[in-house]
Amino acid sequence: MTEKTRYEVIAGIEEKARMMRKLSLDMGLVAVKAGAGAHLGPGYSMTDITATLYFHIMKHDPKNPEWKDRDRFILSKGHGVLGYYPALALSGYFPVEQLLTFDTDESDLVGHPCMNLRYGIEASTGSLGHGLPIAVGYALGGKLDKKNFTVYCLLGDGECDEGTVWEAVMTANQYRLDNLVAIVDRNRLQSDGLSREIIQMDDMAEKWRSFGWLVREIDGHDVGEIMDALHMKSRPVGRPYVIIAHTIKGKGVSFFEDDNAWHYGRLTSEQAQQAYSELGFSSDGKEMPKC
Amino acid sequence: MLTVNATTAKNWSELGARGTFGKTLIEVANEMPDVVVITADLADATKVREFSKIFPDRFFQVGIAEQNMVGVAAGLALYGKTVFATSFACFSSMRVCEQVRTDVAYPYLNVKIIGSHAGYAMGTLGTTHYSIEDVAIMRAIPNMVILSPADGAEVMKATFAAARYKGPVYLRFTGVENYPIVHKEEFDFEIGKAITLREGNDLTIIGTGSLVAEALGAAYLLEKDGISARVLDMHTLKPLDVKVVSKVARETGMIFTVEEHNVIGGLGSAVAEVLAEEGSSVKLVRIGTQDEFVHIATYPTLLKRCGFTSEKIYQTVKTRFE
Repeated sequence: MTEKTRYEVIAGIEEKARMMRKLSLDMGLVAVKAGAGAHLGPGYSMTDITATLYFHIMKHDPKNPEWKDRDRFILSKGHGVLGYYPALALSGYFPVEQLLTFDTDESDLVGHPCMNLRYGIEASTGSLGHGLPIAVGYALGGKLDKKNFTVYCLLGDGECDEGTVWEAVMTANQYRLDNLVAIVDRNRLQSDGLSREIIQMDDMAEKWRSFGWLVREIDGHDVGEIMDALHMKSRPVGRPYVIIAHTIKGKGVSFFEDDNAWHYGRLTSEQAQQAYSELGFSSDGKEMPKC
Repeated sequence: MLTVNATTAKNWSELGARGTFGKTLIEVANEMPDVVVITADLADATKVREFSKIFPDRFFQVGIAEQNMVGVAAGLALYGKTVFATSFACFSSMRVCEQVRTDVAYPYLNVKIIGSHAGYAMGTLGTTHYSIEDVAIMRAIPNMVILSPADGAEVMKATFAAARYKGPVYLRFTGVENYPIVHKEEFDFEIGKAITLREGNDLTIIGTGSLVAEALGAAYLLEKDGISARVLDMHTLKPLDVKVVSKVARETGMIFTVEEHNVIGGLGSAVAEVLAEEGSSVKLVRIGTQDEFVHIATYPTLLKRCGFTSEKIYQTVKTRFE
């Protein structure tokens, strides 16, 4: 088998991301039926990042989810499950059809991740500011046992309002955790609106840099850029690394994009039809991606 | 395993709960290679400095960032370590409450939260450093085990028991150096099983932490007046030894609980819950902080003022016993 070209690799990840966004819509519709809404905007802004991690970067084995040497992914912005569960399903941790239990009564797939290694979910998150400290603990454990795995932690930019994020940032720097990669989903919106008007963090990169981290800023929807930023050769030695991924909240469906009404929204069937079509699927959404 | 005898009991008494904990932790770590320690700038105060020197790789310092400490402890435990996270009880219960609940207790992780200087041990350092709410907080969190050892020997036993127990534990240390000795010889320590220190038929005093010794002292004073008091050492506050509470409710006439904690949510509340649910008619008196912020004073003064000394417990029992 010949090795895939860079173009083919990128196209493959983009296709997975397209499938993930389609599955998110399915989940969004299921949630509405169950009387809930869904965090579509926060899920869509991070989808290209999780697709690149799960289908290209991370060492993981869905058949052996407790594999001690696996790379770990901690979703610190726990409300981003719509950009997370589809990646786990398409990786083979559980059947894609199970995504359709999202937010339904007694489902294992709820609005914020509930630790379940069988499903590849490493930690229970959703209370913001908790994921990075947990990721730091994982990375310290790996260092102590001289393991080679990497801990990836995805944070929201609004989440960086939390003081515990910066406590963990300092610990990671103190212990020179080069087995830890933080990614900030910089979509510039949070629950109450424009982040700049809530807590101004135009100096996001400078803040992380001043805490000792190597900072790289990328377009969080350009899979090639994401791949390159996450590549081993881009990673520093002896210090932690953060990728600030500039994203668009709701990226991929025109009427989701930059509209904070989709931070947590209820999808109508008409809206879903349009969204399916924009993603290149039949408007009835019946087509089911396979892993 | 360390053994309890007159000499070790005396040494541990001199060291106090923290000192004994620090020494024990080294024995624990020698026995269990997965044990690690994390602290938030209180290595000296929680007596884990010696551990950090012997096991530098297994010791983590996060600075003055308690919430982060518990999150990092959760990550270490998720990875597979048995983690002792140390701070003052006021911080390791209140400051980190949500991290304990969500990051540690909910996923049932192997993290042992150390609350040192619980109650009023901080004396003139003041109310910011007192902890009379920690048991109530930890009791309300599902999956938490709460250990509250009575003396040095029990601190040693509780530390080993916590390390061997697979799951979250809150270890509450009360008292100061020159801890009163309760156990002078080897005894069985089992999580969730109270120890009957003294038999008696008229009433029962249930103590926890360093006030167990005061409860014993009160029982001796009562004996002189012809009142026969049973004394229980309730070293595990959760899960509570319900059986023994039912038993003393059946066998003795009245129950007094003694705790260096608010009467709301602690030992007294836990015992009241058992009695009420069983429909017991036995009268209960809860000796503890009477839901107030006390005026700051030295530790011995506060023990007296709150009614925690043997003499004061004796007086309360004499007044209230029917």
